[in-house]
Amino acid sequence: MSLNNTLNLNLARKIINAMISFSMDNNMLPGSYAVTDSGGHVVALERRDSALPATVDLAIDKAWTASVMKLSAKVLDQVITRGEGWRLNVKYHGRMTLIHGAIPLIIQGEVVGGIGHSGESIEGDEKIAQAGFAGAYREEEFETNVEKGLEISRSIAESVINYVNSNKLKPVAITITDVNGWPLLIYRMDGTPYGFVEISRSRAWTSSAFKLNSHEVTKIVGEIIECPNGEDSNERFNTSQGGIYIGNIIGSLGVAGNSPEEDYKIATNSLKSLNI
Amino acid sequence: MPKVLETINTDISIIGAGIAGSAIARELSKYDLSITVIEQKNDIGLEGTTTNHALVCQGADSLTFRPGTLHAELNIKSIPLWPKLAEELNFKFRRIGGLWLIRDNSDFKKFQKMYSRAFKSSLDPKSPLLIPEGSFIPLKFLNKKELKNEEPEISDEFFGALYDPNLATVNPPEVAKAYAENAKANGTEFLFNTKINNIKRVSGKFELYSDKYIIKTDIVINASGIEADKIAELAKARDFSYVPFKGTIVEFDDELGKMINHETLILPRGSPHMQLISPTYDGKLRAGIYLEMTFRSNKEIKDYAIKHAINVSKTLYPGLPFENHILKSFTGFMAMTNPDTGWHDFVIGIPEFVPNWVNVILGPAGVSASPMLGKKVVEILSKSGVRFEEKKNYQPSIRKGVIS
Repeated sequence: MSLNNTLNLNLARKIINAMISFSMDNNMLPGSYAVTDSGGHVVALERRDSALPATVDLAIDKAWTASVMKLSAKVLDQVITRGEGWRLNVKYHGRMTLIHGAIPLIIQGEVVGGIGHSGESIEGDEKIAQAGFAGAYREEEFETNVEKGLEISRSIAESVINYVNSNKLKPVAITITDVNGWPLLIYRMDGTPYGFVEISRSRAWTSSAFKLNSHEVTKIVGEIIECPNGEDSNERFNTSQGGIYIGNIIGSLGVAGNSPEEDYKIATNSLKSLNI
Repeated sequence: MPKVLETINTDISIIGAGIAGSAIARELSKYDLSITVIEQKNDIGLEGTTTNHALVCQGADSLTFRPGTLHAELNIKSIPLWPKLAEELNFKFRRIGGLWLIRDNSDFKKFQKMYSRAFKSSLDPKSPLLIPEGSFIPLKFLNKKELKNEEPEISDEFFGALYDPNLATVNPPEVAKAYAENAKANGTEFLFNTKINNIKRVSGKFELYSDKYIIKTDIVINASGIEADKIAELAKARDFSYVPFKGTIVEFDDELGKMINHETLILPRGSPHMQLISPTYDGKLRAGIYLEMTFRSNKEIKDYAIKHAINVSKTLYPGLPFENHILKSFTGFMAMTNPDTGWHDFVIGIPEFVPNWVNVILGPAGVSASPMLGKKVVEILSKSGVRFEEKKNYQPSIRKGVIS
């Protein structure tokens, strides 16, 4: 059996699982675990319940850096820029992250994506990201015993994927946020254009922020077009259908990939089948 | 009815009887301890120990390893130990020397750096890894004519070479067996066909479960080669990661073996695959090495990997009929740490949360570093508080068969 050189959601989830299992075995701090494709766009992200909210975007940006530079942050920092890495960081508006824990995923000699971890010390981040890379080269799956919030998030995402597959709908991006609007999980199903990742995330954020389904927000607050705090932070405003407020342990579910009406239907039916 | 397992009590268990496990067993058998080596196969060194290019890095190559790594430290410190070891344990240690071929100025510049590093390590008394006098012959640059004298069949394309007279070859399984048999004669026990399925920690002791035995032990040394991650995970002691690195090597027969005297290599450019051909301990040739990261079950020999070895051999020695003298091809695995950067290093250490457990991950140049492994393990365990008392009646040269 050999390894296929395409990065899909299953492989990304396996890599994340390998990282979580490694950090749990070694009693490391909980964090966020991101895998991006060769263009730097999120394929999967998971955040453990007690991990710092800010680690979400740090992990994504690390994976993005490794993907688009096709190099580890360690090499960019120590060999390529030799301490002058802040210049790259400024040039890319703070997104290029030269902090260890960002490594490219190499399969059959090609960079097919990036792996990023944030939440530990730099040595810890690097070790966990390495464990993710090694996880891609393990045939068996890693079993992990994750906390309640992430566990529920995973089962909701599974339910969405099953619903989309069994109804032969277009693949979707899924974001699940906590009650404060910070993502616990982002999955992009194979074949979903990457633009839908941000749409699903803003729908979920909007639902968490107003404790309402995303399309019901305008009924209360009127027609706001712009996000109150701008697009740079986690504050992202989207009042189209597809964001559902759950509000119990986890905050909201955002789905995007089909028409807004269909996305809403996918989200509600997937939650119904779980009795949430 | 569940089967009743036989209980074995021991001070130290070593999981894996390859070159690492055997070398460590021999070193530990110098101390007053009961040692048990556990091997899942039916003999010594049947995996990575057998499937490699059989070279012992003795000079230039050890000095190219990244300074400050365990990889460099253990290899350089092992240099002076090899000849004595070969004499004590009576195995064949053949110095073949290595030729690092020069194509252009870029190669020359790289080798100059290496040459000066070698010079420093072998002569500068302040060097942290000083090689004792007499155990290292200085490297030297050869011009085209001198190169032709050493290797008459070499391609005319090369301007010269950096010559390392120290490089040697051994038969690694034979060396591993020698280590093991000496350890056995000094009281070490060996369990073959014993695969560890489960590990428990009960009141400070480890219990290792196989189908036949429960091995109760104070200290575990995990030297299980490419399976080391899975063994460590059983005890939640995996604080390292590696990727299986598959290498494909082609062996040519004695007839061609007579035509080539030295390991010959060029530095690969824009390709991850090694480009070398080398005589072996028994007068054959090994060429390759085609390297790829893959699943460890993927042992298949690919045509393109064989072609790579033949192409490399042809580039170096265009006049020799390599295609007609292939004896066999084989694949083997090594554990590659930091695969994203290629900054490989050994791992020998005790995980933060699992005391009395030592992980030993070698990968490339593991055979060469084997004389130092046991000493490093003793050093690490001593630092963690384990007391070692030397045995009065240790005998360095006696041997006893390990398979009962």
